[in-house]
Amino acid sequence: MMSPMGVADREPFAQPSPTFEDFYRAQLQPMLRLAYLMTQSRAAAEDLVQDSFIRLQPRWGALDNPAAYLRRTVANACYSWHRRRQREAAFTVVPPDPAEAEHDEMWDALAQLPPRRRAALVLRYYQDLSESEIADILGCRPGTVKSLTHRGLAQLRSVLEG
Amino acid sequence: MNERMSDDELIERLRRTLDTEAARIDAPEDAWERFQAAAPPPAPQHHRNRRLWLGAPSAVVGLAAAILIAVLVTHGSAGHPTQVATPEVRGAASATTSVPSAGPAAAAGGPEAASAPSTVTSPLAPTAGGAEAHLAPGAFSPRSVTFVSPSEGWVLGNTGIEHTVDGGRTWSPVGAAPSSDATHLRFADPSDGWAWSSSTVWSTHDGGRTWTRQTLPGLATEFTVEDLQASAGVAHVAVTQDDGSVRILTTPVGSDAWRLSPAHITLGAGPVPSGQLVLQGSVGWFIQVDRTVVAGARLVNGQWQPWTPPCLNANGPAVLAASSPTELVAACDQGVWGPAAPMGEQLSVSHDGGATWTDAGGVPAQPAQAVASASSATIVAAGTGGLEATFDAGRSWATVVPVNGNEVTDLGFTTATQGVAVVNGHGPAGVLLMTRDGGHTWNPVTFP
Repeated sequence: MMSPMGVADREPFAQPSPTFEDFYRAQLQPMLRLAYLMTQSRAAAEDLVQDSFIRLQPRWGALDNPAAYLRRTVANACYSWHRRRQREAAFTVVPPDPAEAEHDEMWDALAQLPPRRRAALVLRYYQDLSESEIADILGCRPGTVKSLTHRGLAQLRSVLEG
Repeated sequence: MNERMSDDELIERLRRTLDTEAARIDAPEDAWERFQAAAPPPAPQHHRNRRLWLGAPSAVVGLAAAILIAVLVTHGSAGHPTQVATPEVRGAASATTSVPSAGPAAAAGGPEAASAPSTVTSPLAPTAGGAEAHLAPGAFSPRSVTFVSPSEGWVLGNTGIEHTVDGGRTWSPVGAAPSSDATHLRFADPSDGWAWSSSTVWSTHDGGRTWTRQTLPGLATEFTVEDLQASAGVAHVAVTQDDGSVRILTTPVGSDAWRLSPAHITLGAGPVPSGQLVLQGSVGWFIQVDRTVVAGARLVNGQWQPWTPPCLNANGPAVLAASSPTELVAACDQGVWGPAAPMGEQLSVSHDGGATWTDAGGVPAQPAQAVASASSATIVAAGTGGLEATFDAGRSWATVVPVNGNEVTDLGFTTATQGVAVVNGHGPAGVLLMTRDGGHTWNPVTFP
């Protein structure tokens, strides 16, 4: 029997099972960074990650791999955020986030990518996940991940090289 | 115009930017306190029914599925198929769907499933264990395989296309692939075939020697090719469009006269939709997955019509295969996007062409990337742990090819005894496996 964080429950003198608070504190910063790279908005990242933890908490203890589940939830939340934002774009003006100035042109090029291509690039080249792992997160085939990554890189090149 | 970067330089620059930007973000010191203030008090967990733990994401997906299924396919003509008598490839030779791991609680309902024997020696030693597979310079690495008879088949690889007329025992080069981007290959007969990438379809009418880029009419500028299959003289290609729809186009196999089917399937709520075509003779099925199964269509009398696919109530994706126009199997992931802990892969079978489905126990392939069936009893499922097979309709399973962490990109049966699979490691090398005893043993194919 394994606890949610992989600690053998029946092992003699085992460490105490991590609490949800332990999990929250360990995962918060990586998830904030992931969400920020996917949304390019610090405020959105904080909201989405917090909301993801809230959704996960009732299932805490029943999940085999809560970290993987959380990452999927965060990625999904970021994508939903993009979709909402696209729908609302026609009616609202989103002011620039004052905390997010001074970026390089690669960051600006990333902003031009469709959300799923950006997600694939972030998961591949920031989190160093395999195509299979990314497919797990995005809920698609590894071949689709390969395509998203390929197209994302091609689009970045096109933007950067003019 | 800036100087052109190499791919490595581009990726390195991207990594630097991502690392730099991520480092800007630190967790607020009072985050836990803010979380406690925002989160509702946790409900007692131990006595709750896990099926009641529907979170918002899955509820949204479920609602979307319910709405989308109601309508999404409309009727219409689909060209004028010409009959070509070619043996059917049984199963879903191009279908691969990778889904989040379902965990050890899987295979509920399949008593022996989760403990399938692992004493089989993998024919994939170079890539077993998820290790990077390295290619020798100039080595042929299969990406996709297609057979039109027990003897004649083609393999698309990194260096071109290979052809066999003796059931895969010997191979000879046909020529170059239409593009280095081509990832899949299907032939309908000895002359007519198609290769495709995520964005382009090419056709050949001379056995793969020359290729023509196809124009698919009526599509948005940006689309993704999801699947292409041919049967009974007609090729069908499914594409997803960025405008939020899935379309199917058809052409007689001997020409490049693609016509847009009126069938119009709307995407689900997930970020990366995918579709799978399965054909048997003049009938076929299309299953649309967007994290979960969201829609389906069925080919009847040459027309794609609305169809309720299996696994609509499951909280994960599904893969489909058919061994005859009436015998279908689906491996359905039960809990990836749903309540509480994942609940594993379940096998569903249909004996009436997909009209009704019954549960047939658990599937040890975790997660099921593809499934193929040689008959209603013989079913092979591919997971990241390898190829798992049942020869008694799902009552018991055995690992027939143990591989770890690899992707199976093609899996199918050409006859009741002959089948193929292409396994890709994390590196560039792929391996073509063939069975000639109905899925019991699989051996790697070597190329000159």
